[in-house]
Amino acid sequence: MLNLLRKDFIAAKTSLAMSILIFTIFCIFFMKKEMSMHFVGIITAFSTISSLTLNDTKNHNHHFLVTLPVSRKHIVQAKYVISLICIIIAVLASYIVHSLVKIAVPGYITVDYSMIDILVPIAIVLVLASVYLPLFYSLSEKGAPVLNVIFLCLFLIMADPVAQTIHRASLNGINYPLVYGSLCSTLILFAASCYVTVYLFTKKDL
Amino acid sequence: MNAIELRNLTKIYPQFTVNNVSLDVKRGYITGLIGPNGVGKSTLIKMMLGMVRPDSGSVKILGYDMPKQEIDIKQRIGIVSDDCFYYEDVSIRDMKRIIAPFYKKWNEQKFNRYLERFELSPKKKIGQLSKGMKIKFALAVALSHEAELLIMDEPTSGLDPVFRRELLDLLAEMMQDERNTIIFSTHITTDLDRIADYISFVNRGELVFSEPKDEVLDRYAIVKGDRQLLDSDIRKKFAGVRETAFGFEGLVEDRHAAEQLFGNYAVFEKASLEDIIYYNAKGGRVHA
Repeated sequence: MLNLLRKDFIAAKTSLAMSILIFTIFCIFFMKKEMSMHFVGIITAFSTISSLTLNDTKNHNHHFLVTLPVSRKHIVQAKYVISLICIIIAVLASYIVHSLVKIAVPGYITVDYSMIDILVPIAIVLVLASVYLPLFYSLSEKGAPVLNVIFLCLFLIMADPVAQTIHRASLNGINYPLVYGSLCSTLILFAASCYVTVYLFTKKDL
Repeated sequence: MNAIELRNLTKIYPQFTVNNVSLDVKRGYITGLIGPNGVGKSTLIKMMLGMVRPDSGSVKILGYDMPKQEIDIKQRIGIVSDDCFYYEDVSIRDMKRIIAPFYKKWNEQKFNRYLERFELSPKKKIGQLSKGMKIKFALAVALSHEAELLIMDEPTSGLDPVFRRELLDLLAEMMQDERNTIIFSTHITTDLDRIADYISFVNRGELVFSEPKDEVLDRYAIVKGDRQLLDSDIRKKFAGVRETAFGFEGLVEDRHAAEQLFGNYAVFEKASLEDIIYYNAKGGRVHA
């Protein structure tokens, strides 16, 4: 498993550099917006996941991976683990940068951040990844880039309405049991998605 | 002992079927898997490697069951294919950093020696390598983790004659260790004329034969003669026959039976592996 994670970091150096660039650009342009912290975290996390997965299909690299002494189950599990790592790092980075700016430039960011502001973006990307990864592993090399484009378009269309909904909900007072319940359900969905993807990828002919 | 045991392997595709193939690859020898393009050689190899799941049948490699013990199997095998699926954007050095930790018996010194021998710069990106260089790299990887079984899918197609000869020498070198085995799929039969011990011939998704090369070459023969020697019953004795206005040329499976049948009225020549593929693939009567 560790070797597969290492593989992703070595093979996707360029993609990871691109994620840092996306993070920086979105921070610069959206920092003043109320939902900037959530939006930057979510978009950076999801774009990193999609570029990491796309990296495995660019040159039919799954054909290479399955020749290594590792099972298909481990290949899929490693992708879920690295997705989870990317989600947490991206959301935390967004939280840290926004908090630092709030401290450094008083009045520039008016929103007060709490634990919920970290958990909600994590939950949103976990749901997206839970849908995206099984589709990615069951589609052919030609289908995967199309899937990425569809998800990116959906993401851009849905980002603002979702952000507004979160904002309105937080104005009406946060229902903590509901938030924690939703987060637990999301984690269960993520684990179930991993199980389904292992099943689909194990049966797939390459 | 067998390095590979395939039993009743079947894979059905909409337009093509690998039908009930059973094959033993002997340990310590080079086996050539021959056949025209698109008859199932690569599908068979993919089933051996667990890349394609058979609809029925079983695969045993070096005594381990595929896919149940696939990790044990892949620790012991090396794969060289004409399609290189390494990450194009990374350098040879980084690709090695990805691959090496997966293998328990990775030999760094051996790998560096092969890079030097093949004149591969570790700084060069995989995407910048020519097809021949990619095969050299795949070979360096396969030979550096002490693989007992080398599975090669069309490794010489697209290689220049100099490196093709060099590759065959390298394989012969590897075979000095009696525990090693090579299965080599190709349609360039001259490579197998040089190095193969056994020949397995696949045609239209079925195994036609799997025998020692010398026995195959002794058994098959090319028969040439006048067209008057042929009638419908005699034509059936040929695996394939090519008829012209002046005479015929055909492949028979049993040289001795053919010699008895035609006596001095026909000329008998040794069949090459290419003749065997050609006439079996064409089958029946061919008009020139």
